[in-house]
Amino acid sequence: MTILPNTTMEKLKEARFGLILLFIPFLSASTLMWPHHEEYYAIGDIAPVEELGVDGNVHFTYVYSGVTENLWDKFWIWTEIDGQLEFYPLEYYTYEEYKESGEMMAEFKFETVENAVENASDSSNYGTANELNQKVQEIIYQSGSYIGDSFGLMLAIGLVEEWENVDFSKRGKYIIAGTGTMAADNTVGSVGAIRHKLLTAEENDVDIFFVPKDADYYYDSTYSNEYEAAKVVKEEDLNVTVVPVATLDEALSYLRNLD
Amino acid sequence: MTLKSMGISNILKVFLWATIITTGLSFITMSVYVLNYDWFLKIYYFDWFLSTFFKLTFIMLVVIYLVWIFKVHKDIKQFYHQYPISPGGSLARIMIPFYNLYGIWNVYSTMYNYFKTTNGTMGLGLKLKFYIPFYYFLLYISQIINQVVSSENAGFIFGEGVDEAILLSYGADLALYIMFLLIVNVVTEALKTLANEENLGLDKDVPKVQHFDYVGEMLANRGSQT
Repeated sequence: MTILPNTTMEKLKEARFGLILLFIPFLSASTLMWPHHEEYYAIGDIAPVEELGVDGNVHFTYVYSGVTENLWDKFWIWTEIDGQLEFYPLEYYTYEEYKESGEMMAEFKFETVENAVENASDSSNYGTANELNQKVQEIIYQSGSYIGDSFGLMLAIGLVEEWENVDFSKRGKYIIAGTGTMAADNTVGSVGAIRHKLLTAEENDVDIFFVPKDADYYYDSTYSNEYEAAKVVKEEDLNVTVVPVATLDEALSYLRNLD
Repeated sequence: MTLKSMGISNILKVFLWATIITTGLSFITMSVYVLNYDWFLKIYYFDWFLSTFFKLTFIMLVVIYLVWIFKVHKDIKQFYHQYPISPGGSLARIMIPFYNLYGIWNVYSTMYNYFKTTNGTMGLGLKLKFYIPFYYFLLYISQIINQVVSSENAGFIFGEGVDEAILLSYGADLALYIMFLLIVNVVTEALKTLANEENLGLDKDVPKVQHFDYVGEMLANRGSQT
């Protein structure tokens, strides 16, 4: 048996203590990296459709949202984003679905842009196929920094303003915003994060906010955007006027009759 | 004579090795990122783990380092009673912004000034003298590169070379930690030598300090003794 000198023994003891101390960051990093999936939403902002390359006066609404991969992700989001940040637990299968839909998002976005251009063109009797196709490409390029398809309705309204040379905001008298996808048959589709979009609208002093009129599509209408919007307005005592619309034409008709 | 800084020195070395290995691995994963993004996606979570582990280790390393430098100065004061930097003064020189531009250099150059006056530590003092400029400039160069590559304007500044700039920042960090480990080793060895000489009853030369100065005339009269 080898007997180590005292100094070597002490050195080993201290090195061992150092290694034990290193376990603190190692365990913390492992814990923070452990898969932990939660969906999050936070208040975002309203943006004029001009940002999409459309000469209109209405706004679309965006919120900060996504899914956490692990606890570190959650901590990072928590430090980076303010504005009523809320996390919602996700089951693993829901997370997988979320990831898949994320991969499809670019496709959904292209569809909603294409439908918005087509529907606005029908309403305004404007544009050749070539011009419309060019407009679609331009909007896709301009909207590069936004993910999702919920600006479809507001985009279509903005295009009608551009092509009919009208100003639904009545020279800024009204701040008009909204959310909803645009289907090929002129209908407005359901979206996510209604609560935070309405809170965003309220924070930006929006006067009129369009939401999808979708209660009839749900077996249980409490899952609809229409129901949730009414609930949020009541719960949060919001001043914004929420206007549920089933189609683009319905939204245009409301705006054309605005005083 | 027992050295108060010896225990924390060994712990500091463990943490420095951990930091060097982690930074080395991050350098490799970053190289993979630059060379082949598809390969990087396969080690993405490992890279993420490394970066999280590094951040936490680094926080502890800073705390351990401050304790170490404090204790090192306590030890030095035992050997050289007229040593001009107190333990608290060494912390101030390192921690106070702007003052540390002078302070960090001064802490190590003063050590060299005293080590070189003792026969047993003269060689170690010369090594320290050699390391100081590398350590000092690497410290600030790596800080500047890190700040620039993590800024929003990085893409604008470096254009398509932004990935290579990030790689360079890892390389600078790695060189800095290696240089720091070398300094810790030299200082620890010098203190051990001084303690052994003290225990053997060898007389130290009375320090006749000539100010050691690479930075310039600005530092010339600070802390010099005759």
